[in-house]
Amino acid sequence: MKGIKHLKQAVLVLIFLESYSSCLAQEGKLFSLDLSNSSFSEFVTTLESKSSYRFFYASGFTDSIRVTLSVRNQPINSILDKVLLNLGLSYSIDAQENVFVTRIRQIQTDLPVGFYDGKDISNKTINSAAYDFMGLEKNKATLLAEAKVYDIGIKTSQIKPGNAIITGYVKDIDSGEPITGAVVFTENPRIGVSTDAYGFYSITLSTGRHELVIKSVGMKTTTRQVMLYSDGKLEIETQQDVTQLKEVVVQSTSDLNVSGIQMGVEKLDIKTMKKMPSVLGEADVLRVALMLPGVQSVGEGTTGLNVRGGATNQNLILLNDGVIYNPTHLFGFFSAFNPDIVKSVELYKSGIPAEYGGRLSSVMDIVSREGNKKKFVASGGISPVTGRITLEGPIIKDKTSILLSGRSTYSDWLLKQLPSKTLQNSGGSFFDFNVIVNHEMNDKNNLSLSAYRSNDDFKLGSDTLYGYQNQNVVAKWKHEFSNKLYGVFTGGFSQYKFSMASDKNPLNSFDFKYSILQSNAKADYVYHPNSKHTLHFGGTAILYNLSPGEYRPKGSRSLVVSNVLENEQGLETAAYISDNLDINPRLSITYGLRFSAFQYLGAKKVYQYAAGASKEKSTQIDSLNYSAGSIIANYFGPEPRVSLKYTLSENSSVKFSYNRTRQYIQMLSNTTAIAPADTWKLSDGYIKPQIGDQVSVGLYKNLRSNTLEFSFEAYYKTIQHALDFKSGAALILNKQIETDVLDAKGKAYGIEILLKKTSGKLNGWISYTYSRSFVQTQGIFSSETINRGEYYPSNFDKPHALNVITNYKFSHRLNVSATFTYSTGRPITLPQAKYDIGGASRLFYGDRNQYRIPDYLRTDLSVNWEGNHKNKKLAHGSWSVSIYNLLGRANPYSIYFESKDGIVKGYKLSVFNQPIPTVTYNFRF
Amino acid sequence: MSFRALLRRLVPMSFIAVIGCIEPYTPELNPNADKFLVIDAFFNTDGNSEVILSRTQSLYDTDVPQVVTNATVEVESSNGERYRFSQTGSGKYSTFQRGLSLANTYRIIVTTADGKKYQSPFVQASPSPRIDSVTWEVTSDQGVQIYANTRDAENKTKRYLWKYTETWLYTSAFQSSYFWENGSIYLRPAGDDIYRCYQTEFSTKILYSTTESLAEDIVSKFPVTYIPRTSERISNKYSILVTQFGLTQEGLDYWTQLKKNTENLGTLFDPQPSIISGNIQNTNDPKEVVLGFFSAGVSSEKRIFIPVEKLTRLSFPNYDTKYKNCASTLLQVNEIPTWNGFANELLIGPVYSVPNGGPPQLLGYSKGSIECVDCRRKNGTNVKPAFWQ
Repeated sequence: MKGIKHLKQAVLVLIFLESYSSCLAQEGKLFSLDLSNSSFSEFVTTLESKSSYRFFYASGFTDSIRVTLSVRNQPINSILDKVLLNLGLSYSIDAQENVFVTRIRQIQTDLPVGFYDGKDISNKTINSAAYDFMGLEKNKATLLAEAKVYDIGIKTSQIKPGNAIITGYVKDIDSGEPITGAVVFTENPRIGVSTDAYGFYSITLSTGRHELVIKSVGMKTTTRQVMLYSDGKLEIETQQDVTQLKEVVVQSTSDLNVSGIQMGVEKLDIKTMKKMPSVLGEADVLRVALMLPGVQSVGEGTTGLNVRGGATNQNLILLNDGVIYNPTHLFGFFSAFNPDIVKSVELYKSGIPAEYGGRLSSVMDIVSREGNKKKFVASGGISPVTGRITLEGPIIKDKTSILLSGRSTYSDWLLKQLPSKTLQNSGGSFFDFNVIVNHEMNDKNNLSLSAYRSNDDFKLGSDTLYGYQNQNVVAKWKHEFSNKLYGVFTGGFSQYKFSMASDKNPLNSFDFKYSILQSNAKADYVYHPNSKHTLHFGGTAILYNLSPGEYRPKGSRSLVVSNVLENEQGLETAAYISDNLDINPRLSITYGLRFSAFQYLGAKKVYQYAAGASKEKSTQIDSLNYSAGSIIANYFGPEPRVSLKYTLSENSSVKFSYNRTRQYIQMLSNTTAIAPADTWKLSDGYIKPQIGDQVSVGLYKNLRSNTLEFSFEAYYKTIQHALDFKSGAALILNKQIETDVLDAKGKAYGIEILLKKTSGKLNGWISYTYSRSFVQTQGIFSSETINRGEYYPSNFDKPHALNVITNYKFSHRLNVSATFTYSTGRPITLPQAKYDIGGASRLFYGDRNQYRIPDYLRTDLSVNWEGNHKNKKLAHGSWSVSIYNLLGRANPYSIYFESKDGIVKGYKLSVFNQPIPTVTYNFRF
Repeated sequence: MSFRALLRRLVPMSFIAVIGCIEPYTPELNPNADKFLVIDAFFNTDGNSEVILSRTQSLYDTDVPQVVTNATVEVESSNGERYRFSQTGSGKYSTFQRGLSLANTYRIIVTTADGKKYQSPFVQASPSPRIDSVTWEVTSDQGVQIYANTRDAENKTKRYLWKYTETWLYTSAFQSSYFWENGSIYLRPAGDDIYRCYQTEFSTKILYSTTESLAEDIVSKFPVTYIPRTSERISNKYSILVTQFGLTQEGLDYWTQLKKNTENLGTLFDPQPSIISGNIQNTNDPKEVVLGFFSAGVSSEKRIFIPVEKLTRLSFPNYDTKYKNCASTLLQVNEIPTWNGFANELLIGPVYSVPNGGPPQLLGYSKGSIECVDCRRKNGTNVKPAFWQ
């Protein structure tokens, strides 16, 4: 309510209107003036001295004005009309004889009737933004910048016709952080580009006068007047939109839904995630992603994503370009990403750009924030299970920043406080840590370094201790070669390790270790030859080193026999080029090609199997030893990528995309969820790379002045050489894994409907997905065939999914979010009958995945309360109370049968069967 | 609210959850699920063959499986000869053949009483050499491990399947020498032994091995079964009959899958069970599910005995018998004529008191529950098997 009070106290409320309305100035006093080449301020002083009028204007757009004028007995209106209108300025005069000189937009000097009653009488008001004077201080700089005309390039008396390029960075005025994904565009003609991860943009326009509009999620929309003479630079600073903070801001800026060429991409802003009800008091990137159409998981206790009917291992998850192999903590209850460092998340479900490759189904690109380049800031949060803290600030002001962030659980301590014995014997703990350094060497060179480490340890009421770690270090150098060309060079390491250990029985004590290390180098170039084309090209190389399993005795008394599997090596390389071409104002195309290759390398012993027999350990006839570095298997192939957009109208468009992807590393898992002991395996002579093809079409429409977004997408995809496994396959410490792996085919199709309201007190989205996902495993031998070789529903085939997310803003400080999730239960295989063979009772499992567990239904609620909004306050605090699974429904996770004393009994296992409340306190100072 | 109580409310129960909230659940399994035909069939080209026809039953069914009677069971050889099985028991069909050629292929043809015809493709008859030996040893933890050893000098068999039948002698808790009848006590005749029983159990495990990766067709010390230290099986005398079959590649695949399918289930990270397809089909409706795998060939057997005296073990274990909680009580002399507990209890032997210097005086007869006295009540028979030595 404070905001309203400010407004009432304010002498004047400025409301900007898009439309010109008639001037409200009164007729009255007449003036006579004689001015010759006077400055604007002289002109104003003269008028003020002869009357009670007081002028308000920004010197930024008047200091270049020279006034030459000779009038006799003219009313003020006609004088101002003569002087100002020719200069493209407007003015308005209020009842107190104040004159407001503005650019383009006229100031409305009266409030709309009924303003203070809170009744909306002005249905013409679009994009209205109300400012209070207290907050205007910071706006001043922005307003001045917006008013000024920037000369770009070498100023000439006459503008050369043709095109020129404006480049520059869009940054946050407060922290100096670059703004990623901001759209820089002109309204007429409609030409737009978006900024990259560095906030860099490059736009080609015809020479002459333009108004650039800069829009970005969570930032105030700003404009810049430019006079474009030739190629040049324009740095843009924008302000955080404080009022926006309260809204569920989702995905791309509203216009991009329709006007962007990319389809099947979901952009998530961290502010959105922080608003949503959380399970354990933390904003969770993966859990929010699950509310998007086309993204599902097999159940709770897992954050493995199934994107458009793809397996959990077919998602490329990148944190600042470092690959994260296990994106979860505590085997799925938390995502591995600290919400405090996440800036944005982009999830590509289709039309995957050519620069990405290596996984079939999706790319989740998580970009962290940069540290504050202007001042030191600390922030953090405390919930009953976790605590986190982030420190950031400049090393060299405006040039170099550092961001340190850590997160940990103290759940073990909490578990110990509980009376249950089983709980005390279980336990889990994790931590993760990020270090991010950014350095702006000069306006052509940028350096950044990002390091990440996560660690998990847990024990589940048993004596086996599990642990896993993700680590990566990524260095990036961005160099601008010219206005038209820049490159980003990335090098780094990503490592994933897991271990199991048991030392309860000294005779059986063991240590098991698995690790994967990838070293990668990448070069990406962006070239803007002219306004019609944008070229992306580059190359990448990844060297994999896997240690597929080391099983060793632990302690001197252990009788365990060591079993160490040979290391695996592989080299994945790719080159790509793609072009974004605007064929005409309605039709745009992005077409590209990625060519990838993979070599499986020695040293390695490769087992050979009898020709014409199924690959079993029993049919192994020989083995070959390959020397270090020799090529055991070689794969390569093109990956075409095409996206098309056709604009139907200002508010609607249709899009089409096709992409092929190839995947050379796959997860060995015959469980439905990501399990703690799942390992990754490189493609080799027996296990072929997976190949995916996807076609999708979509219709996009924005309604009610872009406040309602509607999209409809349909897709069809096929997967070759997906992995399936023989029943009871042994996937750990298996020297001959090829004997347990089956070559399967997959197909998936579906439609996704999304209706989103992006502004107003009530906002949120409703998404409905109908999707199917099938697998076909047809081998030559019966042991290699599943369900008679027919297509059957995959483990994650959940046809219907409905997600509703709503956020209601009661005031600037209080908002309530509720989510509702429904999905069809996942398929399972149940025994259909029992029978006797050889004197023993056996279960008859029908066809695989012909039954389903009961449908999944969950409602969550959260209340977020912020401290007051004084910008200058020392510390800002906020509280978030959330209840996960409000109705306490026990959603079954799995169903299984056990035979006890000759009687077969069924059981269902659910992960959460009660509401889970959490309270989190977040702070920032 | 105490701090702990508050904690219990507030701490998210994720860990409880992982340990699992498990509730009984009886999903509706297709109520009209067909009762599929189960054909448990092996055709012995040199000996007795038995085929058992039954039907699958509902998971929740506690009865014995329904058998299929009055069917026609035949095996046809590739040279056109047919061998008819005769019904020898409920759902059991047998035939006895001698010296049929292993070079021929064979198929089974089953025609049920309702006229449906099922058959397998022609399968290779698998040879099976004589079992070299069945051996055993006392393991480090004082149990007994049984092994099978075999070799095929002609290198033809390569894939082996074993089944076994265990028979062991056990005794009840009390040896009954008398019985009560109509108020009087009689001496139990020597032939009426309800103290010593023989129990027989068939293997339920699927045991196979292959020598394809070896230079010679030799199986050495294949672990057949393990008997724990305290098992009743080795408390007196134990016998095991190991039967060996040869397998085709398809047969090996079938048994491999069936074995893998019986692995444990019910955790957060379940492996996938799968359908097991056998090799028998309805000739008119190939989609009909038929369970079981037909194979042909010869089998060979070997029986060994392990008397307890032969087990040289560190200590005499406290056997885990069926009679852990047995106790005897006294039937006093004066109660004999009117005893009405004879329906639940049996007499063991007389109980005397020996007063100082006097002659023994009969106090009565000790008695125990039928379960503790009559060994036949515990899955055994007191009829000595013909093979018993």
